[in-house]
Amino acid sequence: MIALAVLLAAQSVAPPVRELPEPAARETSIEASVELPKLTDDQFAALAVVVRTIPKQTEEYIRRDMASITLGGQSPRCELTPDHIRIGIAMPPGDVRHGLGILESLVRRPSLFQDALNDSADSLATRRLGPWEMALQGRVSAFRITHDQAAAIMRYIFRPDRIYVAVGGQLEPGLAESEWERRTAGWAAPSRLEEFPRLHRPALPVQQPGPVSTLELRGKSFVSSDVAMSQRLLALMALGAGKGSSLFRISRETHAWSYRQEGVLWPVPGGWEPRLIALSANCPAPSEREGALRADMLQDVSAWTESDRARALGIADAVLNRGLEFSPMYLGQFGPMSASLDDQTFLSAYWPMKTGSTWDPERLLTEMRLCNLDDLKETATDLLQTAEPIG
Amino acid sequence: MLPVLACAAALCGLASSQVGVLQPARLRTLLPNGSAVLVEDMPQSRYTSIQLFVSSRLTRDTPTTSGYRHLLEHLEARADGKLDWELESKGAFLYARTFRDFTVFEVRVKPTDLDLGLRSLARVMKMPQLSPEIVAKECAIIEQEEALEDLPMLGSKAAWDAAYGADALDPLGNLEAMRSATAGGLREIHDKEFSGKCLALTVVGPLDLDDATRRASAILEAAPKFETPDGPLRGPAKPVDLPTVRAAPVPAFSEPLTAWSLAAGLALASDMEGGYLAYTPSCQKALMILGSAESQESLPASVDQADAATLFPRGRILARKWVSRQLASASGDGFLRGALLVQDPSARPEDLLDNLKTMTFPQFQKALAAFQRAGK
Repeated sequence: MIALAVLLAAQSVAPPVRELPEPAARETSIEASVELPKLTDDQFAALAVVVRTIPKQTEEYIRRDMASITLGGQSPRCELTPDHIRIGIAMPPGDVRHGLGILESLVRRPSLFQDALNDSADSLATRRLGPWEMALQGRVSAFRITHDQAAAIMRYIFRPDRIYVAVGGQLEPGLAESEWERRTAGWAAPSRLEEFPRLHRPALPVQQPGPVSTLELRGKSFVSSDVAMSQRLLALMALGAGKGSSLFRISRETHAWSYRQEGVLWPVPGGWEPRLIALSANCPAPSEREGALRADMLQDVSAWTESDRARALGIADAVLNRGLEFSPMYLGQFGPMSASLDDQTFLSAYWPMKTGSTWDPERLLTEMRLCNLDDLKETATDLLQTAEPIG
Repeated sequence: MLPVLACAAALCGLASSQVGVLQPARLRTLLPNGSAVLVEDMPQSRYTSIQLFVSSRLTRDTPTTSGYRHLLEHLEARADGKLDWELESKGAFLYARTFRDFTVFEVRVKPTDLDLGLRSLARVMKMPQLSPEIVAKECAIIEQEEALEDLPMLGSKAAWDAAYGADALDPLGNLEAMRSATAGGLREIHDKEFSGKCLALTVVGPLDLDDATRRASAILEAAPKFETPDGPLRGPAKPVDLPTVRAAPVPAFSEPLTAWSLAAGLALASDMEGGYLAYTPSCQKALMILGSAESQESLPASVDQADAATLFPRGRILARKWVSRQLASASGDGFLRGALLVQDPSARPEDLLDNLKTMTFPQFQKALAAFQRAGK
């Protein structure tokens, strides 16, 4: 019995590795999505320092070593979003073993030297985001943290059962799975939950909002397993994706309040938030414009016809099948998913983490086509009526 | 399997005269009015990208017309006001961008919708409806656009201003000039823009080369032929050294120094937090601008202290990757090839790859020095 328990503990608890074979690809893409629990704003800010420091050095690799192995000498990508950390590594075609070696080293043994942590905190505090990035992210504080705190954050966040890996491009079937299993064997999820370390340090001064105001109607969040997910996404596309969307026609074309305006499906722990965002310069009273925007959009939705539904389905088809950039699915740090190999590989890792099911754009599209006009209007109206003005 | 990088050129002829049993992957055709069509078969692409390039050779921005091309781009992209809706309903999308040396309109369609894409661009080529109210409203939208400039855009603007001043005005334009634009003034620019030698069309996706070339050529062949002066549009510039950006002057895209500078700039940017290298492919003298997309602080010491020996192999790989990434997608491939084609039909992305292949360490060092303070 004891022997069996030891054996079980030694087995990997990592979710299965997803494979996305693309024999014609000129690279192999290794992507990981690390699921985040709900964090406070300060905890998120501290985690941002850790995430920025991870790719600088690990016990096995200095940055130069990684650059000599990865495709094009690129550093691994390490991004923090509200519900996950994305780690991406581009490798020469077929080189899965080295890529997974780097990934395993990054998630388990980053060096997190104090100087590097301080540099990360300082650069997060001094970085200047563009207006769109500011609107998406909101104001985030920046902290300096100690090495011990960073190590504790690593233990708290990076557990094998929370790391979803996918490999895309030129692949030998089954190799990634066996290699990841080998590398993570014996790495058991802790029996008791680690605690997030206490943060004592004062926040560093961060970027103040610029002259561009954010007009935002933020819809109620919904859970990732929501059965009406496809309908909600279609409604968000009808409201905010493309030049025929209600938001574009009203904010930009009717009022000339904005140049950039989009509906965004924003990831949050356990679900998503639908957000309708327009950036407006020289805006004396954002809250008034948000009120007018909501009223105008509600009126617009009430007049939607089959033509609006067809346009939204056209956008959905372009987004899901052909990687149109104007996707509301903002699963990256500051941008939507594209049709590139690394983004599609990442989605193969992220979607099971988020929803428990395989990423299947065709199924999502099929479900969207079943949404009739009345249901679409009702969903969009509900989103608008319950949305909070943020500006 | 990688597509075969073959290129067939036909002078003064349409593709109907070029039927062959084995097709190359790409076919370039120069039409009698001076416009050019390039069609590439990319069987693995999930969409077809059709891009119309409009050279600014005859319509350089001056202080009084600064932004006219940008304003026209906005208005032309609207076509008759129904185009975007029609495209989006069919899962297609129209993009438009204005650069110093050209404007580009791109339609991405399903592979089966080639005609839809071509017809859409034919609508974009027509003179848009104009009135003082329409111009005023579009200027208000452009004012919003200008307010969104991020650090790379601001850095680029500052570098070009320092290097060339009024000889290479910011393509976004001057709002005052745009607001005072008249219908006659805009029409004059429009007519020059849409003349034969200023136009190039690229079509990249899963397609039949001859058939696509024939259809694409039909869009451009009616454009009037204008006499277009040859010769350089910009003179030489000195390296730019501003607190937040450095810029290295480069010659035309196909010149070796441009490839070396791309390698050096990308290698330097890869060592910086949020580092970027901004370069729009040009067959004129241009700038490569190095900066940080995240910081308004002075550039890090790593730029001036960089070890050329370390950066040399990385720079070559990064530059190759930049080109191959561009060429890997139908949209990127159509953009890079079209941007060159509309400026110089003999220029090709492969020129840069060839120059990277033969780049020596001293050549890389020379290019690196142009970005470094000690090198001036």
